[in-house]
Amino acid sequence: MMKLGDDELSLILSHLQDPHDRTSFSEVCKRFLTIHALTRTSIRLIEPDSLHSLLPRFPNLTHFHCSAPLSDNNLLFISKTCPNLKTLNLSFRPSSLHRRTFRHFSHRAISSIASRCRLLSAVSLRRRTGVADAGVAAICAASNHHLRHLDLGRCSLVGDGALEAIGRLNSLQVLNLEGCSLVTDLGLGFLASGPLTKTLKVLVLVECDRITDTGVSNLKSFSSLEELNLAECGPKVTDVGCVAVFEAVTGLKKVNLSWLVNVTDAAVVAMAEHGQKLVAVNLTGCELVSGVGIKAFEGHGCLESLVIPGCHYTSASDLECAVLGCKSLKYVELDKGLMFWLPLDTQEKISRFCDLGWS
Amino acid sequence: MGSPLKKIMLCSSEKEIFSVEEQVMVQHSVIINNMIEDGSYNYEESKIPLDCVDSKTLKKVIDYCTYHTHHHNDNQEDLEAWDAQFLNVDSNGLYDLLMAANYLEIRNLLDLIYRTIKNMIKGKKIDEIRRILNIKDHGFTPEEEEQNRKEYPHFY
Repeated sequence: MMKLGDDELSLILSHLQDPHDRTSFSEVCKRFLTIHALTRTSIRLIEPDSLHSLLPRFPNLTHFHCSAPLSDNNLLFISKTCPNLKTLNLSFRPSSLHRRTFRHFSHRAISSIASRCRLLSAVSLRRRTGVADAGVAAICAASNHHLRHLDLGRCSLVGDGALEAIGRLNSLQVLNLEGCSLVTDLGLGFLASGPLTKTLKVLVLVECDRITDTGVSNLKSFSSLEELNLAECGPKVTDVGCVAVFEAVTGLKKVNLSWLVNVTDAAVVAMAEHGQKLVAVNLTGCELVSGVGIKAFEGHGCLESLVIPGCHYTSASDLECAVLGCKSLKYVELDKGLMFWLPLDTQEKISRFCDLGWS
Repeated sequence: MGSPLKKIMLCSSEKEIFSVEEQVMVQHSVIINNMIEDGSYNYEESKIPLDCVDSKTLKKVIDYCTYHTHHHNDNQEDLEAWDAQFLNVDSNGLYDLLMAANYLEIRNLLDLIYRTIKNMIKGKKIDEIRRILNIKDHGFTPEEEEQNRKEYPHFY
């Protein structure tokens, strides 16, 4: 084995996929350890205290994942040690182990990451509540056409200022703003006025409950959008906004309008009519959507999943009509309360064509 | 692609000459394919010198390429059985083959060898891997070795 060159050894190592096998390979002899360290590209840090001893051993890391509390100094160290990072997943998972009070890293730390790690293509700062507009703006300004995926879910300080910077990105495909409740129509206007409109494929606005029809209407300029999640965006999002989007954005594959209590059949009909590529639709808790809306999917060519618990005004015959008329359908989810109300022969008919779920 | 009847000469580290159907090597070795394609090989005079491949290994490499050229339509199981028999060599022989295949860029042979080595060490204890790979000096100080054993007791 000793006569093999480093490149042959690293190729052997590249064939070992199981992390256990890789670690055990690295413990066989010192040379393997060095090669393992040089070829390792991803790390998931469990204990932030080991950051300083661990990171310098792996000079070629491109993926960094840590869901524990991190300080400004920690991030500064990461930015200095791993300039080649492509994926930075700092999605925070609160745990009972974090008893000590701690401060989340601030936008200053994010700025240092942005300025040193110039190859980032996927960044998740989920639940890092110290992240504010300035940090996001720094990442966007430094992104240099690489950034494809940005998750700011539950970053409660992120607002319209961040969206202004994100709107200028020209490579982003996935944007998650779940629970960023400072976001308003103004921010959506920023998003919809830049080059982002050409590239964005997935937009998650769950619980952005300050937005209204005005903001949602702006989304009609996102010509490549394939997935739109407006769940729990509040009562100010109605048919007006939704119809404007569905008429203009015809490539949508997944749409979630859960708990939009002021959305009615008009929006669903427009969605079914213009969204010929739709695969999954979630209308949970859309109380005003009735059989008229659901029946609009009759004859749809590719819809596979229809989730409609809480659409109470849907009759058994409307449901049957939609399910039997939509050959591509594989899954329908209904309100548990309907289980005894929906005639058994209807349930049987539906089950013959697709899976039936209750929630 | 070379014509099936043309032969090319390969020269091992011991200066032994092997005459092989051109098509056999061109199909399998990226390096030789490039040489033939860019016209740097003269069929009358040239011998391709393979200074880091000994005769025994070169013969095996040629066997592999020849068999896979003429039997590529065989069913997968037969080919796998032949491959397994082909790689039934000691670890030194395996490393020689690996280096030759890497030098000549014979991708399917390389892949086969890497998979074989992977299966040799997958899920094994460290002492066992050292024995299989014939590693006598692991290079860790006694303190480091003890530390490793403490950190990853399940590997030992």
